[in-house]
Amino acid sequence: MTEKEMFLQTWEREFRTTLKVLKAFPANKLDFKPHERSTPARELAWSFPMEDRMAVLGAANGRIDFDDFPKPPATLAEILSAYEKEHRELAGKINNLSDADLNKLIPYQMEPGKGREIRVGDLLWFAVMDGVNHRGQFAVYLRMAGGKVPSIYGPSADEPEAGGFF
Amino acid sequence: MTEREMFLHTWEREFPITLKVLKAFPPGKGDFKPHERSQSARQLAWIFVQAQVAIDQVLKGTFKLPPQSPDVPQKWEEILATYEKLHNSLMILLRKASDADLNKPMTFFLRPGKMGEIPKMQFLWIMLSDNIHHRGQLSVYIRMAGGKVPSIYGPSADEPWM
Repeated sequence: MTEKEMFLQTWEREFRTTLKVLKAFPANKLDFKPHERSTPARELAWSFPMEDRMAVLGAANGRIDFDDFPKPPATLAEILSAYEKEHRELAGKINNLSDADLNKLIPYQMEPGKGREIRVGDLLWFAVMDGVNHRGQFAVYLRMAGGKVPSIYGPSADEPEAGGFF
Repeated sequence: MTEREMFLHTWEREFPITLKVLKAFPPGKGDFKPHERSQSARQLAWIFVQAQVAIDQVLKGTFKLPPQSPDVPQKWEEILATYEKLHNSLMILLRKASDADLNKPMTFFLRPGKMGEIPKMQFLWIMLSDNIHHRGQLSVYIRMAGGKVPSIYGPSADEPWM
């Protein structure tokens, strides 16, 4: 399996899980945040399509546009619709990348004051992991907002019959 | 880079981030949970250790379902110390494992309620993703318990970069 094949397989699998988690969120609780300094649920949900977009367009264009991050829409239905649409379009862009493209270096600022380059393949993997991190956060929001957490990598207290690991 | 090398590289990179997040949790708040159905912070933190124990058993061929691992310690410092200690011994095992070893099959969940065989390598990636997921959860607990969330993949409200 090539890195691109491996990436696409992982990306698709995680997308389906994230979509399930987003759909489980109570639609009228998008302003919820667990702490005054926390990101509201609407913005956290919006980060899934937007961060995928930033990374994949960065990979395809050779330049990451950190300003291309529109404000979130008002409703969960719009966020879900945008996520599914972005995902389909971005999958096409990933498919157009060659394995050699994944090994190209593009400019990236990983840490403050440390401008550097990142391998395109690493940028894509980074976006997946960041999505997993934010989905974990979102799962906590979900239960606190009155929703039921679906199985993610294994059963949850709300879906114990799913079977799984921890 | 082989898949094994890629995994090692990623596992090593994620370890100090998880350690930083664990260390940011406020002392004395290990029983905190954000909801009655949620796991306590101690239980959540112990998952990182459980993952290490499971990988260790998989590499040694002693892994069994349901997984066996020690009970959650009462003290947060003990969780941290165990996590650091196991990381070092696990890295030695992981570096010794060959690509062929990691491509050997093991029995695990294919989907809810369905068991089957997967390559050990795939199990390792599942554990990594599961850790990242639970670290995200713990980052929400930290702030609610009165701590400050460090940067994970980018700045946080408590650790802005600009």
